[in-house]
Amino acid sequence: MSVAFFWFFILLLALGAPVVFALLIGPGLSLVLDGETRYFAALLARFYNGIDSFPLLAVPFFILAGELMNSGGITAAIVRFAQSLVGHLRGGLAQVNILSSMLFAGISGSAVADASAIGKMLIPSMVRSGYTRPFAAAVTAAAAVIGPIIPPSGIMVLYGFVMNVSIGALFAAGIVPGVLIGLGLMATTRLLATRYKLPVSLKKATWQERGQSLRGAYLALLMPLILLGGMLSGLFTATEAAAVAVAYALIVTRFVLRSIDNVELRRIFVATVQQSGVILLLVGAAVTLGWLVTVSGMASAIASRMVSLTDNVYLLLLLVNLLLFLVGMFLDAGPAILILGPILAPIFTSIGVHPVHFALIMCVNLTVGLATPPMGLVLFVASSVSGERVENIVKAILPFLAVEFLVIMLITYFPVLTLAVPRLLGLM
Amino acid sequence: MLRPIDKAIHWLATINAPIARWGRSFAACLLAIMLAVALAQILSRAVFNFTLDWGEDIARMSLVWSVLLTAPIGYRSGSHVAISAFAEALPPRWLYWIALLINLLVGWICAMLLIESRALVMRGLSITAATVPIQMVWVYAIVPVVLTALILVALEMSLRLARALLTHQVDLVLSGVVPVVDGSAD
Repeated sequence: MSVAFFWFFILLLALGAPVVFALLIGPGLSLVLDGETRYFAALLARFYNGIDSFPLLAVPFFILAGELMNSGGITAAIVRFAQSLVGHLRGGLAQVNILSSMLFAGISGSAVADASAIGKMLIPSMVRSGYTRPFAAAVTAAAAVIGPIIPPSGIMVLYGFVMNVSIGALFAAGIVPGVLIGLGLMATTRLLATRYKLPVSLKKATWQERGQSLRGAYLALLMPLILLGGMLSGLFTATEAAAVAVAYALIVTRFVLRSIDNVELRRIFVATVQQSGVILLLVGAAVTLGWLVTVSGMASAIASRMVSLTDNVYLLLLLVNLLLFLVGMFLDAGPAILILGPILAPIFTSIGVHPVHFALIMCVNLTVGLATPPMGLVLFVASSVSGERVENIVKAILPFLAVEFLVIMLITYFPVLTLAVPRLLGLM
Repeated sequence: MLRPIDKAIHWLATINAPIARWGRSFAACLLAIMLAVALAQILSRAVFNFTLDWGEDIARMSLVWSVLLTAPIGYRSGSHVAISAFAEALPPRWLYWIALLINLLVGWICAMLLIESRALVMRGLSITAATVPIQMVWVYAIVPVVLTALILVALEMSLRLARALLTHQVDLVLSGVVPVVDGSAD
């Protein structure tokens, strides 16, 4: 079988075809060209089998849990709690934005949900307090990428499924990089606050006030603890953890806070099923691509070509990071992982990079790509929420992107940053 | 020339719109079933020390159906991820010609897979699910149904693009190269 499918796929992608159809039409055209139409049955079977998997239930469940928590008013409680902790600092509202994103990441697992929820709440008050609109939007977008890095994470579920890596180990491995990005962004904000004389908007909260805000937010903050605790204790798998997350979110929003009625619940279920349908169809199509990449000999050809460039693992890791960063500028993290994972991961694991370590390099790099121009989804959300032009946000986000790229380099060359926690928890 | 095209678009839209919306609503119900089954599995194992061995099969069947059922509305509403930066840089008429070609190709690949799905469905007649007495033909049956629905949507999209090219009115809202016809969230 020739590798024409890949060039057809790239051409269709460049012409604006939906990725899911490009992933099927490319191989289809290639099979016709090669006179191998008997493989259409295999194409369909791979596509079907790609969807027919119990672990994939985690994808709609995590989306549903995030939607429920967001619609149920949990975001406001998280922001109040973050305000009580860091709101009094110079540039405090920007710090609140970042800390809220870190806390929200433990619930949503989606950068878009994070940018939308936190941005709607904080950008208007940041602008009222004297921050420039591009800066407020840039902080929101930069911080939102923490969403899929700190567990739970939608893209890690996808990676774990397609590349057969423990999802629990990936979740645990994401904790340190997520916290590092958060702390890096907070430190950058602190430096910029002095330079740009960012305002101090809130007075320092007393410990009593902090306790009060914690009481409002503890139901949300408990969720990641329940999930990780349940998985680590062996009470449930990563997929079942996602179902528990939904049940917990349902109980909190529907019965404790009573912030969601039946009409809203129906809307959330419908929105969830459409969002997850788009992602999981891509999973099915990406599985067919992975199969073709293997049977056509393309994976081994790319591997030998890459290794012939240099046998220095560190240099190869730098090159792959640059490639991922470039791809992340144009493609959403989920599809990029589904397309590139089956091609790149076997190459790097064969030269001694740990599968969980490489998974984190890919996931973090492509997630940061969500906040890079010209096709950064999170940039568009921040632009829509703030009413600021994307090009102005891009200028303001550059210092934050530099920090995020630094963290990518750190986790690339210090595997201990990603592997220590899963090893400590006995997940690998 | 335009009258038959308009009639065909109207006819296809009359079929495609409700199928897409019903599919999505049904998929939402299946999501509730998946959730109930997954939670029942955890409860039965943790509380009653008893494994619901049929749970995984039911959940997987529901997942396959729910994912495939959202495909037509995803296509019609332009929700599927696409890289539009390069396409948008093209002159509108070029873009419309390319869009027409790609939507025709979508119809073609769905038709090819539809032909192959016959064998899949036939095989389902002789297979029963591992833990529940359900013939797999009922599960596999969703594949040709959805592929047929996608072919109809591809045809509708292609006709809309062809009409725009014929009338020189290139004012369709595109997501990548897909005309956004059904943009509602519920």
